[in-house]
Amino acid sequence: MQLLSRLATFPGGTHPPEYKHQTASKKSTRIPLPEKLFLSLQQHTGAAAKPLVGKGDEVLRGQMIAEAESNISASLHAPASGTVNKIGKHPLPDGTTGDCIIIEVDQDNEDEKFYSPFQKIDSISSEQIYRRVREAGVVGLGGGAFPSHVKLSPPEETNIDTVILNGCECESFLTSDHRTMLERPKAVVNGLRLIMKAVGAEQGIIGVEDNKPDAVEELDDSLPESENLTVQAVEDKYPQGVENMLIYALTGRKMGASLLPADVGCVVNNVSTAAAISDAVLRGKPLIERIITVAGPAVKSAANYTVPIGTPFEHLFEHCGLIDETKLILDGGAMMGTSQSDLSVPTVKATGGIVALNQQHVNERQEHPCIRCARCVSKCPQKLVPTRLARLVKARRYDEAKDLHVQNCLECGVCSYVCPSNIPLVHWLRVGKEKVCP
Amino acid sequence: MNIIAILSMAILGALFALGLAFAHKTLKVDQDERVEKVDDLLPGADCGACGYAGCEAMAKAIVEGKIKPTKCPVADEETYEKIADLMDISLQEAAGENVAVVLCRGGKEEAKSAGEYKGIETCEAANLVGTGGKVCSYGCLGFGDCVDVCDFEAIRMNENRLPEVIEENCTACGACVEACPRDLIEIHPVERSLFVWCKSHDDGATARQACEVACIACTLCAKLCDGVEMEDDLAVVNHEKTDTCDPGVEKCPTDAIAYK
Repeated sequence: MQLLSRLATFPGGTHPPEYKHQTASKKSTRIPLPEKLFLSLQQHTGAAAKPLVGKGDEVLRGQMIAEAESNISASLHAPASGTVNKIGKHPLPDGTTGDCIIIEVDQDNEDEKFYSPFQKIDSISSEQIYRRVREAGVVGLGGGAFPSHVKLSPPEETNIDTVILNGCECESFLTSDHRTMLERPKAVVNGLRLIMKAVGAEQGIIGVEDNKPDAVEELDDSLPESENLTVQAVEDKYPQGVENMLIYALTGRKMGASLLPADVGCVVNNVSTAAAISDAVLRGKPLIERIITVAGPAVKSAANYTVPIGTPFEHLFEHCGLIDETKLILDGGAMMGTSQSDLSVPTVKATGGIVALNQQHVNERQEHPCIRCARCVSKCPQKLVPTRLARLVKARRYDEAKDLHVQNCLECGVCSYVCPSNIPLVHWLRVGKEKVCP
Repeated sequence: MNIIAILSMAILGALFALGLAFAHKTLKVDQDERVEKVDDLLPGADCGACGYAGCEAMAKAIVEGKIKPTKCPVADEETYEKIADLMDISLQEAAGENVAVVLCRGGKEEAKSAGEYKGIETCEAANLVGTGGKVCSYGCLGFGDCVDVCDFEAIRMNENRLPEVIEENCTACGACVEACPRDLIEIHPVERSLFVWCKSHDDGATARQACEVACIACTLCAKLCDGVEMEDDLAVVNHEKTDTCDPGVEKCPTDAIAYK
């Protein structure tokens, strides 16, 4: 009957080609370490971390090298042993140049400095989980890079009853979350249990898009019988992985634009984040590496790599190869990825995939006038009117754009994707957002 | 009877005449005759766009020096000139003693490109995409939002993709200052001439790589001249203290500090 009934989902959205076959079945592998790692002090939402090391200092894999000074910030740890080459500016994947701790990697040093692991989930207090996640520098690995410990300590007045793990991975090309669920289902489930324990929730749901039946099965097998944990398949539709969309699909609770998940009793984390939380608590391992998908038609041999944070993009491409006609390289998937102009940029904690496209896959069609088809209106998951908003922003009528809630735009890019006139709607909406709430 | 009537009328008339004469002497308001002339020159649309109730009110404010003639958005250049003549001031003074100054000289010739920017061709939009086409994340984006918002044709893009202020036209209204997402435009008194033509707070090595005319934070000018100060890897002229720095201008390795 499950097959005949409609899968849980949200209204609106679209279904761009997935292109996941290239890497979905490729087990994540390790590649030799790069000569240098570049660790941005600002690779999370919130305040920059404060360096604890200086030029010439020896660091061990797992050693804290920069500390979070305020609550909304995240610490950094050395992803490999080596020597601090310098602390200086380096280009970053968001297009800016920022302060980085640059570590010259000592390829032969295999020493590690992890935290002492906790043995059993049952005997850990929620305070211990919070502190460990905080000191291990775990952030949201789905792309937002929001410090995870903040999510583990919701405000007192909220009553969290459900923890949701996001295994949708609705972006084209990316399979790193998929691989995490397949290769480390136990860690994902343990992470879920730890988060539930930390926030005091009774229910845990892992939402996975139904284009990954193998992941659903694998997770199902790993769930302990006794607890109130479920894995639920949701329709594969973009942007299913956005918090409000997933909460609605799985619980039917509607999140207003100004609300936080906690206000509807939910905490949402990515499956990879859950695995990282499990590593931090049960293995004492800080967030120093993650699975990254390197894919796209311009990549010679697409793959999933387990790479240390701070690996330069060019180092990854040395291993999987780029065709000469590469047109566009994105940090992230084809819908929301940021295009790169400099391949010396390092991966950051939030980098889940790198996509390289050739000419054929890059839309350079000319923009035409709006034909009022309202495709953007019907597909917008936030129920905005992108075409009207774009026209208002273009005319610098920001007050009216604010009245039409331009600030609620998720920047998912569905409007631009479905527009038959190739109007860069999401870009205009971003301009409007910047003007309305800088 | 007739005589009484005639006399009483005459006396009344004389009394009223005295009253009027007295009122004329004591209650007289001296009005600058230029107000009327300026009022005649103004378009007479009474649109209120200048912020005053009508053209007469604005004429009065102009004569009193409260507002510059160029603040009338309806009048043309010729009118501004005539009013300036009438007030015996130069057009520049008529336009206000302040002008906009664009503090970036890294055009497409000098600033290194970070790649091809493809997207909406406005500075606002480009500013949201990484560094917006140039390596320097502080410099001019070159899409001319400032030109679009200027009502006085006082700013134009040159061949080097940098905005140029046409000082004669500039009314220092500040629209370009608002429009620039990189905060590169400032309003300064027209006679000021010493500026650091760069807003990059990058350290020396990074700035040098990004642009040939960037301030590379060598601190030379700040050491040579009192009134030039370093603020977070950028030399800044403190105009309260100085408007000259000949040795600094001469020695600056990138010509970032220079006279207008």
